[in-house]
Formats: sequence, structure tokens, C-alpha cells
Amino acid sequence: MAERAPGARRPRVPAIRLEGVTKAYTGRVEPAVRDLSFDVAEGETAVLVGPSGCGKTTTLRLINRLITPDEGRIVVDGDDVSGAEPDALRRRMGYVIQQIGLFPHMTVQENVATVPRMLGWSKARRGERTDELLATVGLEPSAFRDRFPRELSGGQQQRVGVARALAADPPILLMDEPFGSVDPVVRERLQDELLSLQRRLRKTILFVTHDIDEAVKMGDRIAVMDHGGRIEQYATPAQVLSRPASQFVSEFVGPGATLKALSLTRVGDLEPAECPVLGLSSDPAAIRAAIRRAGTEDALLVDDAGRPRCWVTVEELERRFDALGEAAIAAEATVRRSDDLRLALERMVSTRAGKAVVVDDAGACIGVVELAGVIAAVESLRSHASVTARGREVRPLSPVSD
Amino acid sequence: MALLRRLALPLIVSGVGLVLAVWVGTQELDSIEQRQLNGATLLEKIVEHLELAAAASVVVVVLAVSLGIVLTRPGTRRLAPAVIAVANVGQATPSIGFLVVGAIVAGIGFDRVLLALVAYSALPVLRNTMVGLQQVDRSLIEAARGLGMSPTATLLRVELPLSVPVILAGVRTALVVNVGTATLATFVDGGGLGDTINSGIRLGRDTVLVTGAVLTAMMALLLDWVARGAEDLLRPRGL
Ligand SMILES: Nc1ncnc2c1ncn2[C@@H]1O[C@H](COP(=O)(O)OP(=O)(O)O)[C@@H](O)[C@H]1O
Ligand SMILES: [Mg+2]
Repeated sequence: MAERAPGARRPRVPAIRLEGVTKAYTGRVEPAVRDLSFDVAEGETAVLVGPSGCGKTTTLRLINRLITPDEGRIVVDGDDVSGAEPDALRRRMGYVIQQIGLFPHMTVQENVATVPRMLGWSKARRGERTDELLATVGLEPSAFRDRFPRELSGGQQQRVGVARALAADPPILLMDEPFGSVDPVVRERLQDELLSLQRRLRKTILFVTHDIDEAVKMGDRIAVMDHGGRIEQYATPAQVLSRPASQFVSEFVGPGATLKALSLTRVGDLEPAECPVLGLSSDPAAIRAAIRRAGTEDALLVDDAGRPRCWVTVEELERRFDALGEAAIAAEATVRRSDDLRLALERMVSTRAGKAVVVDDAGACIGVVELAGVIAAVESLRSHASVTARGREVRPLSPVSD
Repeated sequence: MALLRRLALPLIVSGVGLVLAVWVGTQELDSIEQRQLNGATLLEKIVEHLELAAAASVVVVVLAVSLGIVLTRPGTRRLAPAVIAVANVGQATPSIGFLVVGAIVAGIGFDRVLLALVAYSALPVLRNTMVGLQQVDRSLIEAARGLGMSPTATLLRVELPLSVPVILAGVRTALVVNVGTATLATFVDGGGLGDTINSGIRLGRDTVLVTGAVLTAMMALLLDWVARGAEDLLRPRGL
């Protein structure tokens, strides 16, 4: 059976399951995590998001068995972790700690090969694996493998941290604010790279962040956590944004929830707008007829290759029927089917036409989207929470723990 | 330039040695002085002295570093204050007291002197080992354990390498202390340059006294210089 075939649908088996886990650190009265239950399905990215000190790191440390729960059970791949040999368990889970934690006295290569070395891989195999991983996380192996951590920028260190966690190809990744200490531009890039990596690798990822935008972007599911490790809502990003389960969640998501939700829907999911599309050299009378027939205000003119050139209205046709190419508004706002609505909205409002042309890879027009379409999408997101980011089916809202 | 700075100390020490040799050479030496200040005797005393200091330092490193490791492990960390208190007593007691008490209790000779030197110089190594291990960033240990390194592997591959600079600084201190304290071995028949110095004092021969004292100082300075070089060599790259 080709179990790992790309795109193969597998049953939603929990790779990680917490059942009523409580942990109080010694000397503390209040538990850091109280009666915590949730599970992460195999091959999914679950995000734990919540304010600082709410118990996110504690949760990861519990799963990793760096600390043991006072109460409750943690099951990884069907086995209760309390029965497992801790070091062996940890080697099955790549762990990216919050402080990155690269060993300063080891080269990048030695850092990345930490787990393979413990597993007794030969030197040659470790070297090969390191180079492969460095390339995977976007670092040129020959330039980086012999450097020491202090010779790397913050972003490069975080890449090495991720490579180190991936080294022995563990099925599970625990990532504690892995992109926490880099500037927004680098963070955005690292997020995109992890997303594309995850599309290929299909690991089970438990990703921790305090940033709701990052959670929405990275997660298949988001667990919004309040102090004491209390999960307020565990649902898809669309559901969390459009139907917050509690006051805490809506406050945590903040006022921009609708705009954030826009990033979850793709242009391709929108209802295309009605719009006549004609060649630049078309007869003005034909254009006028097409506009009248479609009942729109204007028409889009495209060049011989189908690339959008300009919008023309009936009035403009009458005034300047001899110079259509120069007429009216250049059709500069273009989007692709895979772009999200946030970008589409941005493009629409930055041109006088108030709409954007959807183009294919060659830049040829394949449709038009309008503000009305975006509003309709937001509307439907809110009423059904039915359109999700990556075309996943929607699961019912999970019950809020009390 | 850097090389010159590096070689400054041995050059100065050699210079001092030369001045000493010339000065002794110009003195009219009587038979007592001649018996002390000849090449063979001095060499023998120097070798004895070095043996004492080196042996004590090796024993101290083995004992104090191991103890330092034990006293920073989770289970046994509680014992640290008590052990440090004992080590402080060792350091605070005048070294001659150690030798005499040691001699009364255990007799005289190389081993007893060694015991006294070890007790006296263990503290800097012990303290630096503990400080060195404690200052290792907790998050690195968390990372190592989180990746599945055993406690022993974490100690050997992360904690100790990162403590090496601090531990070696303690070892260097112990070495210098041992060279100095080994001069007292003469009082319990332990040999070394203390013999030379002591005969100078007892027989009222200043040339002998000065020679013994200057040689001891030269030895301490040179060993400190060597140890400093070793520190640079052994410090992990990347720090
Ligand atoms: N080693 C520890 N000893 C005692 N208390 C701790 C320890 N680590 C964390 N805590 C406390 O537990 C709570 C949860 O911490 P943590 O899980 O680190 O939160 P987060 O990762 O969400 O910021 C906090 O109140 C924190 O102060
Ligand atoms: Mg944390």
C-alpha cells in the first residue's frame, strides 16, 4: 500500500493526543496547564496560539517528556508516552525550541547532525543528510556547513534550528515560536518556506506562536489558548476568525478579523464578475453592443495575446472612438487564481476601475473579480464558515472546554 | 606583534634567569654555597618541585572536576553548599598547617605533601567547574535533551565543552598555587626548591636563598604562561 503517496487521503488518526493533562511546576500553586485535552491529526499542522505565559511551551515539553504530567495521559502514535523510553521518544519528534538553542561550539553541520550522530549514522551519511537539509531550508551547503552559529544571522539560525529538527526525518515536529526572533520580512519568507516544505513532507506539526496572523497562516487547525493551558476554541482558521467561540477568542483575534479571514480565501474561489472582454482592435459599435448586452458599465479590452490592456465605458467610446488603446483606465490590477483575497482587495482599491483582472501564468485574462464578489465571500465565510483556505472540508466546531 | 606579545613573558623570564646566572657567577662562593648552587643539585631540586606541583595539579583536576560535575547534577545538587564549605576550610587554613598536621597524622614524604597540596588547591578548580557548568545556557541543555541526547551525552558534548574556558582558568590558578605551596614541602622532607630556599635561610647564605626564590617565581610564571597557551588551544572554536 502506497501509504505515503502524495495527496493520498488518509483517515484522521490522531498522532498526538492529550487527555486531561494537568501540570504544576514545583513550587507553584497554580498549574501551568490544567485539564488539557486535544489531539493533532496525522499529517496536519495544528497551531497553539495564546498570550505569553499561557502554557504553550509547557504543553510541548509535556509531549516531549521533558516534564511529566501530574495528571492525565499523553498518547503519541498510539503509545502512552509515560511508557516510552524518553530519549527514543524524543528522537521521533523534531523539536525546535523557543530560543533556537544552536550549540555555539559546534558547526552548522554538527548542529544539524546531532540526532543522526546519536542514531549512529556514518560520517558520510551525516554529511550528505546535512547538505540535503541545508538546501531544503534555503542555505547553500558549501557556504554554511562549516560556519559556527555566531557567524549566522537570526533568520539563518532559525533555518538551521528547523533543519536540525528535521534531521532524522521524524514524523512529528514540535515547533516553539520557531520564527519568533526575526524581522517581519524574514518571518514571512520562513513561513512560506515551511508551508511549501510541509506540502511535500506532510509531517504532523504542532506549531506554537503568540501571533494570531501567523496561526491563521500556518494552521490547518488553531487552538486558541488562555492562561492555565485552557483551550478556548479549537477549529479551522476560518471558523476562529468568523465565529469566535468566546469573548476571549474575539478579543485575542482583535478587530481585524474580517480582513484576516480574507487571506483564507483564494481568488479562484470567488464568483467571477460579469464583464465583456474584447480585442483592442474591435469595432466601437461591437463593444457598445457587448456592454449593453452584459448590462455592465464597461468592457475590458485585451491585446492579441489576451493580456488585459484597458477598461472602456460607453461614454469614452463616444468621445474617443478613434483611440481606444489610449482610452480610459489601464487595466493594471491583475491577480492570479491562487492569490488570496487580501491581495485581490488591495489591487482592486488601488485602481480607479475598482476591480481586478484574473490572469493565467502567461498573463492572459481568464476572468474579472469585483469588490462585490469579495463582500459575498466574506458574507458566506461568516454565515457558514464554509470556504476554507486550502480547500479542506469543514469540521464542526469542537466543543469549548470549560 | 601579536607573536612578540605572546613571547614577552618567556623572554623576560629568560632574561631574569640570565641575570641570576651572571650574578651568581660573579659571587665568590664558599663550599656551602657551592654544594647548593651547582647545576646538578639545582636541576634535581627543580625536577622534584615540578613533580610535586604537576602531580598535585593532575590529582586536583581529576578530583575537583569530577566533584564539580557531581555537585551540579540534579540529584546531588543539594550537597553543593556543604562541600563548598569544606573546600573553603581547606583554602582558608594556612598551607603550612596542612603540611604539619598531615605529617603528624600520616608521616612525611611525597604522598603526604601531595595530599596537602591537593587539599589546598582544590577549591579554585572545584568552584570554577561548578560555575562553568552552571553558566551554560539552560536553553542549550533543553535543546540537547529535547533532541533526545542522554544526560551523559549532554554533559560530555554540550555542558563540559562549554565550561572548558572557565574550568581551565581554575586549573591555571591551582597550578600556580601548587608551585608556590610546594616550597613548603621541605619542612616535611618533601624536597623541591623549598630545600634551596630553606638552606639559604638556615645557613645565612643570601645567594642561595635568592636563587631558590627566583627560580620558584620563574617556574610559576612559566607554568602560568604555558597554561594560558593551553587555555587558548583547548577553548572550543565557535565561542
Ligand atoms: N521551569 C518553570 N518553573 C516554574 N514555572 C514555570 C516554568 N516554566 C514556565 N513556568 C510558568 O508556567 C506558565 C506557563 O509557561 P509557558 O508554558 O512557558 O508559557 P508560554 O510558552 O505560553 O509563554 C507561566 O506562568 C510560567 O511562568
Ligand atoms: Mg513559550
